[in-house]
Amino acid sequence: MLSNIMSILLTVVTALVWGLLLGGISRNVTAKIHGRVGPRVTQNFIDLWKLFRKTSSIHHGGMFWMAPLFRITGAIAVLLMVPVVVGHNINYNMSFAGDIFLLLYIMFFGCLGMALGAGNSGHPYSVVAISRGLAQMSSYELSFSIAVVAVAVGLHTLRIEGIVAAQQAGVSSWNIFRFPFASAGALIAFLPMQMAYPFSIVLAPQEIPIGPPTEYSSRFLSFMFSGRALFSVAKLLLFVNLFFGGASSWMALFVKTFLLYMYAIVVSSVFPRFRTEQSIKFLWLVPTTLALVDLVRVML
Amino acid sequence: MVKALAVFLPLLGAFVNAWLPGKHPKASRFVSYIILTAGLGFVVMLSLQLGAWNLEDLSDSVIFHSGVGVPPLSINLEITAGGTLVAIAMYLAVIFSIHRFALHTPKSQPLILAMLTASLGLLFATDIFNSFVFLEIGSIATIGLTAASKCGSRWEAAIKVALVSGLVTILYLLAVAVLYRSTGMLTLQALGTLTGGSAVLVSILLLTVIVTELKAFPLTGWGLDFYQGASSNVAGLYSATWSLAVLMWAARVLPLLPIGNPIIYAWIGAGGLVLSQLAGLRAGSAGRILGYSTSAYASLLLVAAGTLTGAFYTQTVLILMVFSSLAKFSLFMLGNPWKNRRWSGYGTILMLAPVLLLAGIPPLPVFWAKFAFLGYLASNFTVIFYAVLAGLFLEAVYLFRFWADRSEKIQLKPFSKPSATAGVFVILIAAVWITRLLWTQLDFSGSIVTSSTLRVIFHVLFGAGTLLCLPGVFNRIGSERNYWFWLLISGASLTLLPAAGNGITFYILWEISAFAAVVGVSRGSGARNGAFWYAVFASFSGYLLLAGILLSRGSFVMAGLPALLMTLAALVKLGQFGTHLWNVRTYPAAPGTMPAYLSGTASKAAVLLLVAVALNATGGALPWGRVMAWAGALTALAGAVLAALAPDYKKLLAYASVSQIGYILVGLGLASILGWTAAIYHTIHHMIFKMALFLGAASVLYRTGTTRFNNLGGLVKKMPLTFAFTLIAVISFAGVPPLAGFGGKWLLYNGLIEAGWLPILIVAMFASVVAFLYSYRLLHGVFLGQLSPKNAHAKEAPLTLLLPQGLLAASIMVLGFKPTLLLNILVPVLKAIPGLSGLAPVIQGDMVLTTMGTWNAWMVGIMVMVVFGIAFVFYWISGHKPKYVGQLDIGFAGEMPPSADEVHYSNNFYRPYERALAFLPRIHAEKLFHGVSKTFSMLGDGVRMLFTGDGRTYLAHSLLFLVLLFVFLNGGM
Amino acid sequence: MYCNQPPKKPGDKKEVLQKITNMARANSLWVTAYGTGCGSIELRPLGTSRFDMERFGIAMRPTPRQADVLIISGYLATKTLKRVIRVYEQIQDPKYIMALGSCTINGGMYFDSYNTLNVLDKYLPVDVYVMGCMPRPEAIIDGFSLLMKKIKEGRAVGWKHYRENLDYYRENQKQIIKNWDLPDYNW
Repeated sequence: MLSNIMSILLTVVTALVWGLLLGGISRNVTAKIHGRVGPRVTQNFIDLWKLFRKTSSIHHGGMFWMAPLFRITGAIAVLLMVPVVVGHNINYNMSFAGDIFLLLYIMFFGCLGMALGAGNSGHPYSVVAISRGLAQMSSYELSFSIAVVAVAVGLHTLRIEGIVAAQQAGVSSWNIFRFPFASAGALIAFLPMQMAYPFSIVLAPQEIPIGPPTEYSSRFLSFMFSGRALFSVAKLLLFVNLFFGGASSWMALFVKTFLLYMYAIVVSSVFPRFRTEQSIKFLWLVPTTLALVDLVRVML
Repeated sequence: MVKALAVFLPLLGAFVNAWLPGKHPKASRFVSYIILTAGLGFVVMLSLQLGAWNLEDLSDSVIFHSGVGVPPLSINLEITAGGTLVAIAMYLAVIFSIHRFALHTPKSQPLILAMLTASLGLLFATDIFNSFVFLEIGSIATIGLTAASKCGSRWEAAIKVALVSGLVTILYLLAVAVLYRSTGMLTLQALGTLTGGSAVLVSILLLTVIVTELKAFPLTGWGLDFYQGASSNVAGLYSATWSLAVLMWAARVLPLLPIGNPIIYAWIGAGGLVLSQLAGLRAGSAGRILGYSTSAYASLLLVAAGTLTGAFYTQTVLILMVFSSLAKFSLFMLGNPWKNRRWSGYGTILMLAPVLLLAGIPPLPVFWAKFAFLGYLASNFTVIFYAVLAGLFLEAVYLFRFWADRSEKIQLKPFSKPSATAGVFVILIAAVWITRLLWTQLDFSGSIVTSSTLRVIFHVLFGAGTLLCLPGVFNRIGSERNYWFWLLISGASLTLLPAAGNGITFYILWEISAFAAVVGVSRGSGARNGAFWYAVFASFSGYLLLAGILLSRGSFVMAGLPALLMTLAALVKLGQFGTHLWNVRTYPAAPGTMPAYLSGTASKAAVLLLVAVALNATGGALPWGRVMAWAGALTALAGAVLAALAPDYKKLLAYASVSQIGYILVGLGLASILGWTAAIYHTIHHMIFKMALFLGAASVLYRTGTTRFNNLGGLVKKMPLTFAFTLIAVISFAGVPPLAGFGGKWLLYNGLIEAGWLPILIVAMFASVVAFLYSYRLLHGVFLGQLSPKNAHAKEAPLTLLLPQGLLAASIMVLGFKPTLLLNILVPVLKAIPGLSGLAPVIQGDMVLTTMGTWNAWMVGIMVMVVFGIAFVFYWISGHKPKYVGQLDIGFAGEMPPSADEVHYSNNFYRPYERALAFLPRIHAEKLFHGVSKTFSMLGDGVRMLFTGDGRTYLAHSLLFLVLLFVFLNGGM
Repeated sequence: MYCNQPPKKPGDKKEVLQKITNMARANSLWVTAYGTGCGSIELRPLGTSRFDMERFGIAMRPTPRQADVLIISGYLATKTLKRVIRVYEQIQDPKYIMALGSCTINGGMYFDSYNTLNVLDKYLPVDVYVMGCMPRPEAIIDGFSLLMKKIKEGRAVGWKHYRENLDYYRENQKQIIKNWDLPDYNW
């Protein structure tokens, strides 16, 4: 029990630090691609602290007030449902409590909470962003869920531990090689999940000032910020577990999540942005078709 | 003496009256009433003597002669027990309507009394020449009455009657001559002794006369023109006396005609029924609509004459004809109001009773006759059965349209129209009387739902759903009228539904619950159209169910076609995509908590039906399960997309309801233990959250007076509790753990994976993601965003609406954290059903295991709560004191927002999504439906071209019919 | 619809970890992306690879709610003042104003224009002035480093001053904006 709680705490803290660090690294990498020097790697910690220590803040009502909480709770819940390091029982955290379907749906918890907060702010741009975000989410979730179902059915288990365990026989047993099309579909779906270009229509700073959190300031924003960092680590973990053989050690975990994150950053840095309907159509067409190939393979 | 007086007293009155009016209008009215009352008394005495009131044996009769000598010189009457009942109906109709004639055209009183005498004479006459005399009197009285009215188009009507009765006279006299020539007798029985060519000739002549007089298709034209042209009083009186007499006379003559095989009547009737009712769809005026309805009942009579025999025939015809005539009488008295007075709201209901009666809805009298009649047809004459069913459905459609169009326009004081009111009351009293007699057919001993646990679950579902809707009925707005009574009736019969032990019981409860709800819906302001669509689809589903029940001999045990028909009935009732139109039109229109009841509770009757069919017919697995699952999945998807684009709160919920129902279909279609667990779980869950949502909508409507998203928004400040309950319901149906909705999805997906139905799984999952779109649209459109100044006065919902919502939200929480409470009950029951395939989920404590997946709702719930709690405490103690700012204090490029309405983002909410969907061809179900109805209209128009409105055409029709009959019968022989 | 309570006056309460917090504030300056005057043209190059302000932790935020620094880029027309006041007051504390160009100091070449403010500091508390007409990006970066120094030393307290003397500033502002239709307090 105690070791479980320790493991959970360790996971959350590590994920927060790693998430913020990854954010800093990514800003740096982007800057390098632009030919700039870029901020410090620790810039996100500084920003977080500054936001946390701002002396005043405003709120627009109950849901606005609660939304960062929802965001953080959702992120941590997803994080805890995913096994962290394979082979160490304590690092499975809460993943025994549900399977991949539970995970797919609990991922919406934070999004919905944030959407409610943004809605309560009364700022039209926040809501425009939410409407875009939900429309896009309903599109990429299609390919992602097809990919997940293909993998789960192909491996005859819905449990994430099971999916990870089935990939432990060397690199060639990783799902990205066993289910290349499903993985490709899911990896394309990963980009809009990380709000990377060309799918960054939600946080489009040029048209709808950074989207849903437009009205969030100070400490609220710091919570949002850490929630986002946690959530992105949780998603990375999920992808690593689903397609990249899980992580057998902390080191492997950092390397794999880092590489996966860099994939999104690199793609993100070189693309302009889609219009919303273009993004939706693209997501309906390309990744879905890819993922369907493997689904058909599994069914046959 | 009594017998003679019962028939001829009105004639006496006519002679007395003919001298009186003009100078002494009051005296003439007095005389009429005295005479009519006395005559009624005599008829009632006769009926008591003959023991007509138990309806079991109507064959008793007395024969007497009046006048001098033997027939045909004297008048030969056979007063039957059934006939006395018909006579009572006629007397009542005249008594209740004569004051109108006395008021406006006092001179027509003798004509009315003459018409009554003619009707009574024709009713009882056994001599074929006597009948001729009465036919003539009746026609002349009709022409006279029509012409004496003050209606502008009276001559068009009168001339048609005159033309047709001229032709009828010629043909009839020819037949009489031939009969007398061949047999030397003029009694009706003599018809049977005819042989050879004269038999054919007499049959053809008399059949043409009868079809013409009955206004059965294809010789309906003159009747339509008459009903349209005559004043509503004349038409009403005519249909309750003369038309009824002709029907009963034809019913006696038809079996006696020496035509060989009487099945030819049935074919003429059945074919005519379908065609005439197609044409009826296009009928515009009240008179024409009722004319088509008359034609339908005439066709039914022909079908009955061709297929039934003996006491069954007599009873069926008696009930069908008497009550349909009375219903038409009431409708004529209501349908064309004379004066525009304020009507306080009973018009809808007063008018609905006859319409429901004509459409054959239980427990009104016609239903019992139709049920037995159609049951007989179903087991012996299948093709005719389907034709009759189709015709009856078409009739129901235009009758309901008539009701929807008209009932709004009825403007008169309650009970200021005793004639119509009385007609309705006669119908209702008769309904009670007949229901009392036939009560024994109902069976509550062994339920059709063989599993007692499932039965109890459905009982509780229906009962609780109804009760939760009741407190809110007192919070009405604007012109919404009180609907609690109908809600209660509907809910009560629904609650009884799972206990039904046989088909007829199930059907009756099903129809009562549906049509009581129709009345309930129609009490809303401007809800007639919604009620109409509900009525049409409910009767469509009702006829499908009826067909299924009758084809499986009144039970549920037949697999194959009957089970398929019942499945289709359930799908229509559920609002399966394609038939979802009624959901989308009815729910938004229904008043107050009515939509909550309809969507949350009443639609589950269809789930019960599906369960019952599957259990009884096939032991659990429906052979078309896979098709149903596909239909369900696509319904879920299409409903979700349409819900996301809906501009209205209630409309969105209606589409959402369509969408969520899809999951239930997928689960039931799976026919595995997991699938059924998912389906029942989702049924219960859908009832809970959909009622919470619709009650929330009712609260918002009550406080703001609108459900358009464009006029709403920001209500969370005013109605925080309503918002909280709605939020819980929304999170739940979106399937986000840890609330209850996830369980249904998890079970369903596991079932689909187990069965290997991956494409359906993908569609269902996609639909559930699209559900996020409309769930957020709902929350934002109503509760979040900017509060419009228009709604600044809004406050928290009243307790009557809030309390049920609170209960429902609490049960969502309980079910979400401890789904095993329900699963522990469900799983063992479903495991015991032999027809279900697959493995049952294993429940270990809070853990639910399937072959592939695991789910521990309690752990997940606890985890989320703990994490949320810790974060909350941290949030709270970190000294965070944000300042609350006004809703217009937003970062708006340094400007001040012009007004809340302009900043609220609500119109075209998912515009990009719509644009992305634009590549799809826009197959709106609405358009599809309009296409279907257009096709039917075109067919109807085609048939309608027969009825030109020119009297000569009608004569030609009759003659042509005669010739065709001749050719056909001679060719047959 | 709008806020109607005056802001609380901040005390001189020492915060915990003040030094670290000041360091963080100085190294994470988020600028609200609102070009108030012609000088904005010189702000844009700051984000490019040549000047790269992100290496100092300076970033552009499109919404005042999340910003720390408001840059008044050049002359401030009376018309713009209204908007600037609202934007400034919507920024959460602590917040800083950086004024570019001579116009903000004494009106510059527009000193006698009927619709240009001459001394910005009378209307909004300026923390850092950057001279020039217009200042080059290098000068702006220099201004930023000055602002960072002031923040680190805890001397960038214009926002406190503004709160404490809100009445004084309002009076001056209302002299310029004759048809004052702003809410009394913009948060």
